[in-house]
Amino acid sequence: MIARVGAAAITALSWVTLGLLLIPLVTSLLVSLTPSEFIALPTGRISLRWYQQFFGERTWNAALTTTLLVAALTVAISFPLGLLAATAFTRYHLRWRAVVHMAIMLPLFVPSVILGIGSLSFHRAIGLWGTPLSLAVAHSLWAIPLVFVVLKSTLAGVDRSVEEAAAGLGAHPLRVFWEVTLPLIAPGVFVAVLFAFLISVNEFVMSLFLSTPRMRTLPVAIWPQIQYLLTPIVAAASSVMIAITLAILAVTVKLVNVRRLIEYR
Amino acid sequence: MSDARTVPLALGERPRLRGRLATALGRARRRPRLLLCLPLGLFLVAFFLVPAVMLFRISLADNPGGSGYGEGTPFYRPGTWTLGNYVRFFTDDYFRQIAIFTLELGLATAVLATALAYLVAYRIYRARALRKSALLMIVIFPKFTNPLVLMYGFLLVFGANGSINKLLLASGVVSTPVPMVYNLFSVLLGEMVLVLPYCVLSIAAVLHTIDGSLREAAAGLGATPLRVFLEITLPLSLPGVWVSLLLSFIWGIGAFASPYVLGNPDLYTLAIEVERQANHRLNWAMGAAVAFVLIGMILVPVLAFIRIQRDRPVEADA
Repeated sequence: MIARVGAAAITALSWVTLGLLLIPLVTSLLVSLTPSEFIALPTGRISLRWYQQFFGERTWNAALTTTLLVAALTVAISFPLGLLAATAFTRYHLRWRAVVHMAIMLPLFVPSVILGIGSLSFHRAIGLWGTPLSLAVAHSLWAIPLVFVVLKSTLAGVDRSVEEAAAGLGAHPLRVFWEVTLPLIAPGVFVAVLFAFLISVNEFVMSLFLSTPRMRTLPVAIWPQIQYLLTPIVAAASSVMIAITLAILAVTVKLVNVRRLIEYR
Repeated sequence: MSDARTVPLALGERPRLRGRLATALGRARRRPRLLLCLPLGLFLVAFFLVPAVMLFRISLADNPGGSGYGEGTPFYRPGTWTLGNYVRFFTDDYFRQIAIFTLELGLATAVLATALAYLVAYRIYRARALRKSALLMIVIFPKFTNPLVLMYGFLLVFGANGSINKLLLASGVVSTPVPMVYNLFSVLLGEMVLVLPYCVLSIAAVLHTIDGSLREAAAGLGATPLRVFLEITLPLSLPGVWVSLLLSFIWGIGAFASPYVLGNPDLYTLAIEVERQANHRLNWAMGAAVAFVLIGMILVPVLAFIRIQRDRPVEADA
């Protein structure tokens, strides 16, 4: 009997937890559709006025463009760097493997506040502050470890004998990589690129430090609004961000078996 | 063009060029791993290590005077060296309170998140293939959204004008809105939403390494499901629990978005203090000092964890 009650409680609690993860997002989506001036769930009609305002106003527009630009730059930086390192790790014997691995993962363990303030003073000193590149560099600190991990496991899963066969037939290592390895790791490449993009789009804290009034990302533009909860425009902005995220994740799910995330260890 | 060779080329080997270029290229070619790791290494040194060192240097500089708009750089006085910021941190009650609260929040987050994560991870473990993937997606999804968006959604649901309160008021259960935001409750919940995915993943990963036949054997020997769990599953899943505790503690200590958006000034954490010193007081020196105290707080459990992992004896195969 106790077991039954216990099991039921556990089930209930785990559903509550899962709900906790999802309900705020759903609510945000709903509020963005409200026709009223105030923050409320739409009762009756729905209206796209907040989305019109979002895509129409310059501040939001500019923020969206900046966000996407920075994300693209982040991918451009983190993908090659991560790929090279992952190749080194899976293809060659490294003496201080564990140390190097830890060094690459280290930025993930540093709170983004610290990465933010550190980057701010440094970028300002070298004149990088205020450019999208500065944001991209900071975002890459978090994107690179992720790209590295994804590509590492993808590369490790490639059948080496195919590569060796190509090399044996006389192909230069670079050619082996381009014509044999790359097509084989294509799904992993997509996932890594998408993840890096996603991380950059949603990164908030570092962007808070490095943004300027002229150059802000979407989360930074939302930030002052959130503290006063004035209009549902924030909900619209949030929904746009969620939509971007969902789209990218939907593509990712097609490309990767999610279960392998935990079973492939 | 190529040197005369008496030994035939090995598979994949190309004729070597002469001269210095040959030596350099030869060395790079023979140690491709160096070449491959170099770009990333340079990047990390330039944009992670150097800023860290620079930040530490700034924490040892003198505060700007007054409002922060002093002569020259308003953010710190370059060229000065002082331990004043750290002294101020450890003697001033204001900072001490924040530090203590941050630690408490970290611990609370760690324990709560791990407990809940275990439940969810266990459900995922016992789920069948399709449901497993779905549950995993649900767990991972918030991690890919913006913390700000999550917090905002939170306010919408739990706020005084939010869905839950509207429901409670409409059904007559309460007469005034229940304060569920801008207090410790919302801060903890918000922080957990951000931290749960990591915890669930780490516990679930370890759970999935457990040999299912062990459970079946125990059940076959007559153990109740509860006993199977307590004596087989739980002990074998402990490594994941430790990782979960560590991760959630680290993230809990570094909490920023949740206390800032969902809390009140009494509940501000060290991370928030770093931002306020830097962006509002324009006192980078103090902000840097607070940042390094935060790093210190994080290093202690991490180093302890590594130590314990290293000292743990390797378990023999069953």
